Amino acid sequence: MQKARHPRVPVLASALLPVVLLGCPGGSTQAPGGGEAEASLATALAHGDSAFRDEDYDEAQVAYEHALQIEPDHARAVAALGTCYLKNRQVKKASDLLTDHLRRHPENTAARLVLARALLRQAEYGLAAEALRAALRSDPDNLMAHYNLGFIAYRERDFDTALSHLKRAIVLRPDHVEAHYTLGLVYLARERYGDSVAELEEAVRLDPKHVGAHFNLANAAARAGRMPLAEEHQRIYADLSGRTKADAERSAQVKAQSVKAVEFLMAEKYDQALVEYRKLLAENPDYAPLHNDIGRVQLKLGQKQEALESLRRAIAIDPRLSEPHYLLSNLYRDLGDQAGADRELATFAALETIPEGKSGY
Amino acid sequence: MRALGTRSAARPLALSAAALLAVWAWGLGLAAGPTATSGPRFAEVSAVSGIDFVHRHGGQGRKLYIETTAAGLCWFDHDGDGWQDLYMVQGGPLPGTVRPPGDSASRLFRNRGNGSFEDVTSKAGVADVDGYGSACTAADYDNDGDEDLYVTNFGPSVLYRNNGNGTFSDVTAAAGVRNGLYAASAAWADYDLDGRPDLYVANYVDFTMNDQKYCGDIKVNRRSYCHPDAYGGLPDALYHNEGNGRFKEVAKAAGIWDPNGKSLGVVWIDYDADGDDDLYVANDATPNMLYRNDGNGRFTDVTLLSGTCCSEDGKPQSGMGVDAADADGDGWQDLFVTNLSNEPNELYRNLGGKGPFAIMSYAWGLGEVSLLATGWGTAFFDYDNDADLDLVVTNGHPMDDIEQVSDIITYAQKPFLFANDGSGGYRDVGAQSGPFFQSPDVGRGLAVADYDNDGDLDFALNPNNRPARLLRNDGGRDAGHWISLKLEGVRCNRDALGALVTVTAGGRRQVREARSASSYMSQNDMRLHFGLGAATQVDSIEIRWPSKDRQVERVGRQAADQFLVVRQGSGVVRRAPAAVQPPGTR
Repeated sequence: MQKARHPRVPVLASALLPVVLLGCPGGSTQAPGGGEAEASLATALAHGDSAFRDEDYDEAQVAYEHALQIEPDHARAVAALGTCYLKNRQVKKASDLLTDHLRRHPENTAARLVLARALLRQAEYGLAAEALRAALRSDPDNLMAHYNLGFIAYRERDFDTALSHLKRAIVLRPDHVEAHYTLGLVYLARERYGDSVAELEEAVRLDPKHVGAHFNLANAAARAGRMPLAEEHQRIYADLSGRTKADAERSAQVKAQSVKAVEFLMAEKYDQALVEYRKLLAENPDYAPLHNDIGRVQLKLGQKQEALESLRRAIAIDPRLSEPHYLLSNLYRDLGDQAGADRELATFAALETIPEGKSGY
Repeated sequence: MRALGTRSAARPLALSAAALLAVWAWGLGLAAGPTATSGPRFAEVSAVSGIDFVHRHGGQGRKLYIETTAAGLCWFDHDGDGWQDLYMVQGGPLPGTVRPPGDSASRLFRNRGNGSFEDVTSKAGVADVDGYGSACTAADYDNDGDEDLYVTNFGPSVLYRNNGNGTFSDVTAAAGVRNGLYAASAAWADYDLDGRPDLYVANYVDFTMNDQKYCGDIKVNRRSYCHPDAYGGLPDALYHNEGNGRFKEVAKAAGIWDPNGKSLGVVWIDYDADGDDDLYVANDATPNMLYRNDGNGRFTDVTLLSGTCCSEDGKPQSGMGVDAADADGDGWQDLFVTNLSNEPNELYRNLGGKGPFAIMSYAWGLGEVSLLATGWGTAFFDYDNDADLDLVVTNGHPMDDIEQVSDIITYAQKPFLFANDGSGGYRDVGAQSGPFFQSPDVGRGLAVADYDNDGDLDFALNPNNRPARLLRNDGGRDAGHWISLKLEGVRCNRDALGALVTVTAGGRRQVREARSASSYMSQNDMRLHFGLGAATQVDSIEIRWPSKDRQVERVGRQAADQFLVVRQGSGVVRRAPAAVQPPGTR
């Protein structure tokens, strides 16, 4: 179980966002019928676009579905709704919607690209490539079609095709980081280490925080026998992936010391667990998870006021830590503060939102 | 048949004279080689064999994290009669609750040698009744000639010392291997080559029974099993065998130190072939770790250098099960890790024991096919005896309500059987290998063995909260010749854990390492099975024993299709042909 998204999907996703949102008119000229229908359609689309920008994909989905009730084949609404389905993990539903629409409107390139993304999510690489090739027939210089065809060909070990599409993508947009990165992977797979290093260096020049590019640059450099370069990028990779030595050591130290507390918790010896956590806190006063752990144990011991303080402190240090919000919500409810409970629960739910493509979902 | 145990025969010979003659003739190359037809198939024989174990997670709707991770199983010969017995690890009831009537604790099934098993748990005394079980691993840690058993639990784990008479004694306290945390896989190996097997215990996360976090969709009040991100990792334990019945925990001192790791799978692997075992740990949502054994009792973290931590994009994945073997026949052991859906299972190709591995998952046909599946137990094995290593993977999602969250991922999932095409490519051949591969299940532990001693490899599974399954290989023996080696250490550890064996036959070299546990919470038959294809004899066997002097022993030409026992310094000391199948089981 893991948090990272499927590596390629977000690339296609972020590239498609402009496709979906660009040209959001205040009203659609495609709406048939009278002005009332046009106005309703425009309102639904605007509402959907707004919700989409706010990353409220449930709300956006409802709005676009409403738009399609007014105008069933509205090109942009279809692509947008398909994207919302993907965001909401309704991948098959997205495929069905888009396939059905494209049967009637094969010229809708945006829908075709979203369909390709849905097929990639279903590990249907062959069908995704077919959709992308169809998109290229109507738009031969479509950057995302070239890039993704290159990526799929790389995955399927068709390196000549991969090189052709990735190089075309770079011609179309020389600063396309992912195209350089994937080209570097192709060269690495072909054991052309010099070329791989060059492309990956270009990728990290364009995006110095590209984790994958540093990771593979270290690999390619090591295989090319360029150990100083390999070590340099291993270091950068370690930093970027949150594994800098200082951070890791501190986190490791806290974790190692808290094992004793965990053992007390397993034995339901909460007093002793609290003592252990407090010892740790003395050495790490600004470590949010510790405040949360202490709050949780205090709740077990019925020390509600102390728990309240501990949990609030955890949130003050790290507002993105979700669990104290959940524990606080329960605590507020216990204390008769329903508004506070609702507020914390809403925050907890927002922090726990599952991003598209998250491993396991 | 008289099998290859270390004690006197406990069971009558079952091999007919005609079969012996046929095997003898075959061994001399006088008979025609096996005639492959449609390829081996796996038949489900759990019921007929008496494996009636049902795993229970004990859940009652609270969606406690421990319910969804277990459990494993171990093949080992507990009574030394040459037949692989089966230990199934039980989970439920949940700690603090009473076992419902009819539910069993962990169970030991003795292999009768006729295709059936009998439950000997009570007599053996290995039920682990107080434990919420995860995994098991067996080895002769005291070098007294019988296999001992370690069972990991959520909470205190248990070491059962084999008394040599079909019974075991709980020696956990005296040995000092209680652990006490949320343990997952464990594995034995003699990492410091002092002749005594040591024990590695992979600890998972800091979940405790009274620390249940809310996971799921709170807006619709749907509680789900948590993602591992919800919990912190734990340090693993390395117990050094002190040789007096006691162990000493030395992980940190030995340089094996990843207190944030969420470890599930573990395999000892001499990846650099320098004669001592290195260690690979599959972690869930934290980077996998590769530790190189420096040969002085210490290890160096070479994870970053090797590139085996992560996905191709350098991101940690959800490592579950793991196995190590020479997948491409170049003499170097590769690594295979199963992962969660939306991540491919990863094949890390060893490029010569130094520097980075190459990630070959997609290139070798193992990536795309696994994206919608969550893999757990896995094993390299040559199921069709064609002299290359195939792969089996059991699948199933950890969330029982995943179908409410995703419309493309299912809870129960079909297993994979990947055939190696001999040139670095794998192809899923489950569809033509028996109905089992078309039946979705909630896979977890998986372990391979030639339980019927017929010359081809079978496997068993311990799915989560479901009945155990035993799959018998029908036709593997007919698809190619084979040879199976049981190693007996004399100056090294008795099980020869860490021995590297090279078999040359038909112009082809194959390398295998003797090891204890791997896969997911499970342990395979420790005998080394080599498919030989059309070769009717083995030209040479080279064994590098796991001792400080790196002793290499060469065994000369051997006929194919037999089980050999090779004792350190003495060559082949026993041999036996394949068993004839008892009536009614095939």
